[in-house]
Amino acid sequence: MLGDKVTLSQALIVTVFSMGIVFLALLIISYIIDGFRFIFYKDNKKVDKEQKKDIKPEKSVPKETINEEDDEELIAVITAAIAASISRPASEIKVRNIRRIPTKTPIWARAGRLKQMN
Amino acid sequence: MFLDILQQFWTSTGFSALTIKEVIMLVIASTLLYLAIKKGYEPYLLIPIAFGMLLTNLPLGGLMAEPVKELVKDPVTGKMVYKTKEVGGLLYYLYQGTKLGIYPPIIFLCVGAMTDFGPLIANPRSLLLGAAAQFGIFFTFIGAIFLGFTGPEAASIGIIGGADGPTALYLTTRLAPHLLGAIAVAAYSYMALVPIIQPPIMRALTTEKERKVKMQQLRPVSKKEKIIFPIVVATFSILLLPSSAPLLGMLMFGNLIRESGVVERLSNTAQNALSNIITIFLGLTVGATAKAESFLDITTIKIIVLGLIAFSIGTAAGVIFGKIMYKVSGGKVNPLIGAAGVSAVPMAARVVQKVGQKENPANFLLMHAMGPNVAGVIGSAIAAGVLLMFFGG
Repeated sequence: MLGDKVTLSQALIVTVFSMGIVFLALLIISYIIDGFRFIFYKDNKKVDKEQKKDIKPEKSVPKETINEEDDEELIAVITAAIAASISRPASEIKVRNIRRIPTKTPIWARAGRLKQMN
Repeated sequence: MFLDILQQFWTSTGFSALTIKEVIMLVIASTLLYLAIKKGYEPYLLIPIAFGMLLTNLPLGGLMAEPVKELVKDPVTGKMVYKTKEVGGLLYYLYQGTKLGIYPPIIFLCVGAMTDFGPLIANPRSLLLGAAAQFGIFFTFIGAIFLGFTGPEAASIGIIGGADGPTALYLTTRLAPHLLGAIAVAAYSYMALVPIIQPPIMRALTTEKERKVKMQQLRPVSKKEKIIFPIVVATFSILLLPSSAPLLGMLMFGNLIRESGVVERLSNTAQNALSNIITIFLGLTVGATAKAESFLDITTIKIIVLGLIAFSIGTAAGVIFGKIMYKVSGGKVNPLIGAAGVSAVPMAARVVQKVGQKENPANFLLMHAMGPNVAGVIGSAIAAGVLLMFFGG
C-alpha cells in the first residue's frame, strides 16, 4: 500500500490507523468473550435445572427398567458403585443408560498393562 | 616444493581469510553464548542464534552459500538448461524456512499449544492492556522513519516493541530480510532482559497504593469456552485482517488442539518435539544472517537502541493504560498488570507477580497478568498484520 519512502505525516497516519485497528479488534474480541460468559452461565443454570429434573423422577420411580437381561449383573455393579460414591441408597437411583467411553489408549498399551496386572 | 604446499594449505584454511570484522563477530557470538549459558538469558534461543552467528562468520565454510547454477547446453536435447554447479550451504537450505515465513508461524502453533487462554477469557478487558502495549511498536516506527529508515525497515524495527520473537522474525523476513540478524538479536536480548528493563519503568509510573491493589479471584472458565475461543478469534481476526492469517491462524490452531482434549498426541508434539525442532532451525538460521559485513554497521546500533526504546515504551503504555483501568474500575485493577501487555510470555507476567508481591506479600498477580500477557501476543500479531497490509507490497 505504501512504498519505501514514508514521510513523517504518513507515518503518523499509519500509527493512528494501526493502533485504532489493534484496539478495535481486541475490543471486539473482548465483547465476544463477554458473550461467551453469558452463554456459559446460561448453560450452567440449564445444567442445574436438568439435574434437578433428573433427581425427582429418580425418587418416585425407583425400579430399574432395562431390557438387556445379560447385562443385569453389570448394571447392578455400576448402580452400587454410583450409590457408594454419592453415598445414597441404591434404591434412590435409576440407571437409564450406560455408555462405554471410547478408550484413547492404543490397544498395544492396554495389552501391555493387562499383562503387567496379571 | 614443500614450501609451496605449505603456502597453498595456508591459503585454503579459514585462518588466512579471517577478517577483523569476522573476528569481532566471533567475539560477539561468544559473548552471547556466555550470556545464554552462564547467565541463563533466553538460552533456548540465544544458543542457536549465537552459534549460527559463529558458524556463518567462519570464512570459507560456506554454510550460508547460495547454490550456483550455470546455463549449459543439454548434450541430448540440445536445449539450454540450468545445471547446479555448487549445491550451496546447509544453513542456506534450512534458512528457506525462515525466509519464506514458514518457521515463525509454526512456532506460533507451538506457542498456541502451550498457552492457556483461560485468564484472558475470565477477564476479557485485559485484552485492552495487550493493545495498549503495542504503542511501543508504533512510537518506534515513527522514530525509525525519523532516523531515515525506509517504511518496511521501520515497521520491522518497531515490531521489536511487541516483544514477540516469532512475530518480529516473520514481519522482518517479509519486509526487511537484510535486517533479520540485527532485529533478532535485539528482540531476543530485550526479551531476556525483561526482568531488568521492566521493574524500574513499572515503579516509576505507579504509586505505592496502586501497586498494592489486590485483585479479585478470576472466575472459572469452562472447557466449552476454551474450545470456542480459538475458533471465534481466528475467524474474526482473519476476516478483519487477512494478512494476520499465518500468525493468528497457527496460534489459534495450536490452542485448539490443546483445548479440544481429544488429540493429546498432536498437542504434545506441538508443545515439545515440534517446538524444539523449529527452535533449532529458526535460531541457527537467524543467527546465520548476522554476517560481519551486514551486521557490523551503524544501522545495527540504531536498531538495538530503537529496540530498547520500543520495548520500554510498550511497557510504559501498558502500565499507563493499567492506571486508566484502575481509575475506571474504582481501584479494582492493579495497574502493574499492564506491563505484561508486551508479549514476552510468560516472563513479563512473572515480573509483574514479583514486583506486586514485593509491595504486598499477600498479592498474587500472576494469573491476572497472564491475561494481558497472552493478549499481547494476539495484539502484536494483529499489529504485524496491519503493518504487512501497509508495507507488504
